[in-house]
Amino acid sequence: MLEKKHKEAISVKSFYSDKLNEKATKIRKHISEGDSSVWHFEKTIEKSTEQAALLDATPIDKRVSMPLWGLDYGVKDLFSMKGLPCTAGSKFLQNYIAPYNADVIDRIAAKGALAMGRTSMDEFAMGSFTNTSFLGRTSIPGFQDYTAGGSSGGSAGALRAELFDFTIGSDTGGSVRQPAAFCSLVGYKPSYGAFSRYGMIAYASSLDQAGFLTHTTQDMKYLIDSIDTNKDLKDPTTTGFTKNYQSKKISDMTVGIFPEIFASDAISKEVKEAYQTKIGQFKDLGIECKEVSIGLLKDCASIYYIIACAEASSNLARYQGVFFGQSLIENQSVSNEKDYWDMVAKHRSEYLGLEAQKRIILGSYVLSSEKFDAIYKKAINKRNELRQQISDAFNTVDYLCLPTFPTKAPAWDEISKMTTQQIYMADYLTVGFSLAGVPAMSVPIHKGAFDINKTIGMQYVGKKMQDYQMICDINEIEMSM
Amino acid sequence: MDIQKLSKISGLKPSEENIEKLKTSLAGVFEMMESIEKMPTNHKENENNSITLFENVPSAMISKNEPHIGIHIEDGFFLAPKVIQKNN
Repeated sequence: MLEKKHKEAISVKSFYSDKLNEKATKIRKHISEGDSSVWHFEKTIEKSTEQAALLDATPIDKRVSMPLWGLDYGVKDLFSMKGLPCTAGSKFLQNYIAPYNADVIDRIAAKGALAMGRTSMDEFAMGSFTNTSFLGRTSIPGFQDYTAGGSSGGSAGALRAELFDFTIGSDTGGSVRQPAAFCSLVGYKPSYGAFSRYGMIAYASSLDQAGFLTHTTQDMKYLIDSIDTNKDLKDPTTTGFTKNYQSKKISDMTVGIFPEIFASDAISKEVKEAYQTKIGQFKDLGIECKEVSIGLLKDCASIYYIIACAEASSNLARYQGVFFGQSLIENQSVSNEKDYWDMVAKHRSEYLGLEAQKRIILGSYVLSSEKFDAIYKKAINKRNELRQQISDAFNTVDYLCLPTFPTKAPAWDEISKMTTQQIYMADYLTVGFSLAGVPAMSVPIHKGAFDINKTIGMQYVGKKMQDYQMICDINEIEMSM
Repeated sequence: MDIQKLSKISGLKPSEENIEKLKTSLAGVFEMMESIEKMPTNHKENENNSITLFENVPSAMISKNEPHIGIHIEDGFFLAPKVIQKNN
C-alpha cells in the first residue's frame, strides 16, 4: 500500500499541499469528536505546511529516488523535531520546543516523507495504556471504551484511524508491539542499537528503541527498505544493520512455540485460541513448529521493572525545574542547599505524574545501598542469563512466536480494576525480548476489517541484529496466510 | 515500605493524598521486585547493557589522542569526561 501510494503521488505537482489540507480537515474532525491520538496539531500545522511546500518543490526525477515521497507520518511526542513541541506527555515539558531533529526523523525526512502530526503517549513512555500523561488518555478511535494500548497508543490509534500513512513510536518494554496488537496493526521493535536514540527523550537507556507501525508486513518491509539503517555516530550504542536477505523457502523454516502459554492462567482463553490458530497456520504452510522454553520468561516482568525503574530514576533526575523542565518560580534564587532541594522536590511533585513518581521511587529503592546488591545487581545478572536462554532457543529455530499480550485490548473499566502489580506483570510476554535486545514484531491475528473483539497480536522474535532477515521472512509467511 | 523516605531520596515531596496512593499501589510491586532475591544466580558476569560495552562503539569514537571523546579506563575504572568551563 505504501509503495502504491508513493508511485501515485510522485507525478502530482502540489501533492503534499493538497494532501495536507485534506488530512488537516480529517484530523481536526477526529479531535473535535474526542479522539486524542494527535497532540499539538494547531502548533505543528504551520511547520508541516512549510515542509509540504518544500517537498512539493522537489523535481519529479528526484522524487523517484525518494521512496517515501508522497507519504505522511505521525511521530510519538518524545522524538525531537526542530521547532516543534516535544512534551513526552509530561507537564514538565509542556512548553518545551525541540532545538534539533532526532536522527530517525532526519532519516525518514531524507527519503521524502512528511511529518504531519505528533502522537499521544504515556508520560515519558511509562505506561501500558496511554493514560498516564497530563494530556489525558487515548482510546481506539471509534471505540472510546477501549484503550489504544501504550505507551505508543497515539501512534497506533492515529494509524488505526488512517490519519497518517505510517507512524513512529518507541518501544522500551513493548510500547510499540502492544498498542499495535490492540489496534490490529503491525508493530516492529528493532534490535537494541539498530536505530539511533539520538533526539529521543530517555526513559530507560539500555532498553529504549525507536519503533515503527504500519498496517501490513508488506508496508513494514517497504518502510525499512526505504530508510538508511547504517550506524549513527551521534549515538555510540548504535550499530545499524545491513539489509542482507537470504531467501529461504517457507516450508524450510522452523518456528519456536511455547507450550506453557496454554497452561498459563494469566493468558485469556481467546488469546490461547488465537495462538492455537496461528500454530495451525504455520503447520498448514509446512513450517516446522518446535516446542521451546525460556525458563526466565515468567520472571521477565520483575527483572524488567527493576532495571527500567533504576534507569528511569537516573534519567528523570535532570527534571528539577532548573536546567530542564519548566519552573514554578520566575526568579529562582535560593540561599542554601536545603532550600534548593526543597524547591526541586516541589517542582518534581507538581510536574511529574503519579506513574512517573512511582517509577522514580521504585528506581531509588532498588538502587539504594540496602537493595543494590540484593535486587539491582541480581536483576542485571538475571538479564544476562535471560539473554543466554533466548540465544540458546535460537539454536534450533529460526523465529520464536508467542502472543504479544495476555488479553485482547482491555476496556477502561477493566483497567481501572487492575492493581499496579497486575499491570506490570501483564507485560511479561514482551519485556524479556527488550531485555535481550533482540528484534520483535507484533502482527495482527485478524486480517479483515477491524474488529474490537479480535484485537490480538502474535509476536515474532528474531535473532539479534538479524532485523532485515526477520522483516522479509515474516512478510513472506504472513503474505502466504 | 517508608514511602516518605524513598520520596525524599527521589527528590519528591508528594502530597499526603499521593503518599497514600503510592503506598497502596506500590505494595505489591515491592514484593514483585523482592522476589528476585530468592532466585539463584549463576555467577555470570554482570552487564548493564544489552550490548557488550565495546562491541559496537564506532572506532571513530575511541581515540587516545583526543581525551574529550571516547571511553577511557584507568586501573579498571571508567573515567568520566571532564567538564571544562571557559572563563569569558
